[in-house]
Amino acid sequence: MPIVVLVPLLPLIGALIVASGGSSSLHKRAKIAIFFLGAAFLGSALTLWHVATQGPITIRYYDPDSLSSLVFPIGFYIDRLSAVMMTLISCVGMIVYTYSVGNMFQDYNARRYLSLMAFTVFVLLCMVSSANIMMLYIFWQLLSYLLYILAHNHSHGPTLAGAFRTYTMLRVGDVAFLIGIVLAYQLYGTLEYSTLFERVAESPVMLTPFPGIEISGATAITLFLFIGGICKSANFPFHIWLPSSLFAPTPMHALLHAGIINAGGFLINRLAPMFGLSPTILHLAFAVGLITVIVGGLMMLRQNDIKRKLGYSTIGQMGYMIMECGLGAFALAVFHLIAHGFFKGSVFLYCGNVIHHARKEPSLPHIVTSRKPAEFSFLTWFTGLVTTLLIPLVILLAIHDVLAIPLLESQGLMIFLFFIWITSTQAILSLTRIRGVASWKVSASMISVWFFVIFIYLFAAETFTAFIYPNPAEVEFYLKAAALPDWLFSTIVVAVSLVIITSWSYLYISARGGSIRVPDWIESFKVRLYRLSMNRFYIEKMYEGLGRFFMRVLNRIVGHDAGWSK
Amino acid sequence: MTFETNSLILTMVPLLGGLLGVTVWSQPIKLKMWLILVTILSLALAFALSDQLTTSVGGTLLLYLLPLAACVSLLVKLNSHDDQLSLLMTVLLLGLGLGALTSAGLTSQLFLTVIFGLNAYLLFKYRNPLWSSSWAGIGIFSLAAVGAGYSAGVDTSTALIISLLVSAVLLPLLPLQAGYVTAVTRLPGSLPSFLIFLLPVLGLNNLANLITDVPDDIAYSISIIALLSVVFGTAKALVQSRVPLILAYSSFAFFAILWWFLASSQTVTPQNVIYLVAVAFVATGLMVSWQVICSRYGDDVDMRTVHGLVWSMPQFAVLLTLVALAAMGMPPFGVFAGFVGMLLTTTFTTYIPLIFILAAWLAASWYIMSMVQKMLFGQKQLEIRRIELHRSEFASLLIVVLICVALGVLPSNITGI
Repeated sequence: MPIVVLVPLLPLIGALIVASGGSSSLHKRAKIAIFFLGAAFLGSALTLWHVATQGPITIRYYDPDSLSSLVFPIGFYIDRLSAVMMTLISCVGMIVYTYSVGNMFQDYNARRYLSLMAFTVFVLLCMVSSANIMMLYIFWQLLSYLLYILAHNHSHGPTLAGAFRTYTMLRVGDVAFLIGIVLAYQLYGTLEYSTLFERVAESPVMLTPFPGIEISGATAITLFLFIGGICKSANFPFHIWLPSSLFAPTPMHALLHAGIINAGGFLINRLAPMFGLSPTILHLAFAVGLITVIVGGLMMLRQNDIKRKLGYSTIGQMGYMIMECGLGAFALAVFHLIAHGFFKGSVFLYCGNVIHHARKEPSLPHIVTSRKPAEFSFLTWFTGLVTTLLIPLVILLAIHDVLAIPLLESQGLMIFLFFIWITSTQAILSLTRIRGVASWKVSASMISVWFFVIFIYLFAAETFTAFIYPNPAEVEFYLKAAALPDWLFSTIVVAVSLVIITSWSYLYISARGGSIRVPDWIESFKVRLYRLSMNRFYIEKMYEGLGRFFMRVLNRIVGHDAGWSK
Repeated sequence: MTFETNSLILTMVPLLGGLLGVTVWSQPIKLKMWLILVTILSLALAFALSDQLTTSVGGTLLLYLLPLAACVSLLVKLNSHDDQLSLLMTVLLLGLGLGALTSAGLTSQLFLTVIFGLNAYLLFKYRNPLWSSSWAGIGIFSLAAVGAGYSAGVDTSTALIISLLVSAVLLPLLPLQAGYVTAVTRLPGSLPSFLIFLLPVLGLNNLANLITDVPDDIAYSISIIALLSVVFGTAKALVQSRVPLILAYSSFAFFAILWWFLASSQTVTPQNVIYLVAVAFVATGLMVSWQVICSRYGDDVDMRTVHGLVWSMPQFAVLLTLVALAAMGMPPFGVFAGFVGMLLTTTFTTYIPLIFILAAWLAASWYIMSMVQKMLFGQKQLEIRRIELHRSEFASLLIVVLICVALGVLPSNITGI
């Protein structure tokens, strides 16, 4: 099915149409390009259907055995994962682009941004449908540069500094990715996905990077690829580029947060058979994801700028995605990135409207000066308690005792249940903040949310997992590879449970007008944490300080050339 | 016709063309046009004689690219009062370079001797009391001229060492980098942009005949020196604020990476050649871009005062961005292809050198991007409305971009190696 090659090319044609020609016809050309992006979406959807019914598509314009074609091996391998990603990217790309044509009408930079947007969709489509790691890497690097110019306002100093920081951080990931590729080729002699996975599984290689330390080839390769992935997906400690790039037009962010930033999750899924052979890296992914969730969430709470708030929220969500990969729930991570992509894309587009509106209307944003005293509703609180604490407990007991499923030995099942619980609790706790309305409506919403979350996780996510990874043994293999030591897993479950129960109690007592005596050290810890998150944990300052120190040392060592002014 | 006759024809065309150019010395525009024609004629001859000529490495690729690099350098509008001499010297050096590439043994060494001598003379002519480093360059080139001549007449082991040293002057390596650095930063007009291509190409050509004979312990020492050069070149490039110095030291670091690969494998592969010509051509492109800026803003202008070119010179901004992307090793340009090709085809006994090499690679993204960003973006210069890029300058930069893409995308058999 060589016609599938047209799918990524259509946005490229659209980009060229927008970029070429005079300013007078720009709007007309921009509208024409919508059809190309629409056609790309249609083509992606058809490809998804084709792949789902007739299996993967492989097209190669190179000889995989030839050394000379190693550095520019253009080809396409489209399986279910690729087709799903292509559909997501082209759909989000088409929506965002169509919105931008109106949003950026008569904007000075419209031509640049619109053509770059269509070009980015082309690069993303090529990246997710690449036939080998090298082609993926080629488009991965182009994406780094595109992010730099997308986050650009040519004359605005802070924007330029932010864009430069973005590029520098992403290049760190690019270099790590390259090390992974070099190691893969050196150890296994191929960059073709299927052959590489086979060789890694069949012939384990051990490396000794330092005396006394031995690591497997799979671990070494996946470690560097993982670093590449988390740089692009703005995970701790490489997350600082994302807030720095927030000066770009809002539709750019819709595309960035809905499409581009998911590259890390895609990379890990694409190479899942290799990651599955390295429990160490999966555990590392879990830890990095967890830290990112906490850091991103805390920093988000302290922002007063709508775009920054959304930016830090994305960092937290990317942390979740990487954490899911670290738990071996690869398909769940893809499911998450799709859901997050659509959600964040729509929020950013809406945010663009709000910002536009606020610029025209001086009375916006409204400042709430008076608030009714909070009302206590027994029904609301009772429903919340039942749905978030009692029913989950009953379900756990039922699974364990009635269905006789040993929970402690089924971390995969526990992960799903746990995510259901956390997601529904998060939503229901948010609903308790709606005060002063008829409480039965809130209670009904809580129950609906609860059923919705269960439906999504147990039915939609499970079905999606079976679609992406049709072989249940493969899913089981990943979950087992990622299994944490029992004591650690139990500790995490218990700790998070305690946090949720404590939060419930705190909110409940506060709603009843009661006061809670908190030890002084907790109060002081709260203040410190507040200050830390206000200053974004000083991570950016630390990078800047290190950079300045490094340059000072270099200046002292290598000095200045004679005869040139500084 | 014999191989020697063809080599002679290819060498003599630019040399005679250059000498004939003296007749229109007082008319700089005519002289420039004439010399550009000579480089084009040399390129056409290289194509015509390609079946009967070859070089030590890279097949006929180097023979095509050398006249092209000279042509690219000549196409730029220059503003120095020494224009004529720099233009003429560019063409003469092209002839000598072609001679060194297509000949072997004593003849090749003689050509190299003349090239070194000319470089020393030019550095002497353009010396400045403030530029003490020019004397280091003059000294290194003079010694290299003596070494190149001497190595042709001594026994094998001594000749090998001297030839290695001569190669280290051409393809810069610590501690002999001063000749290269001063030549590409101190000479005027079109010379730096051509020399930044010519010297390394001749260095690799000279090295190709030696590297297989180098004993293991010397090869190991070279690889250590190469790593030191990578670190030194990168560190120097990082702290510079002047464009010519950034380009000189960054290209020095990139060439030192090549030295490491050559010393490790003790052979010259097609990937090495692609990498070398790509780096050298990109460096030529960046140097040409700098000449374009200097022709508008004056010589030795501080890059911090040149900002907002994206508004005043949009066409130039796009071309410079593409050349800079190539220099940072982005696909689909030749530097990426050559570098990745070398990484994949080299067997690493230890991964420690890889750390240094990739750190240098990463640093290049930092300082090149920083340099380009300072010039292209930033506050718009309101007093400058729009500066048009001259057609010949546009052609020059476009050739650089196209060659870089061709080196990155086209398979090795099309590039002639």
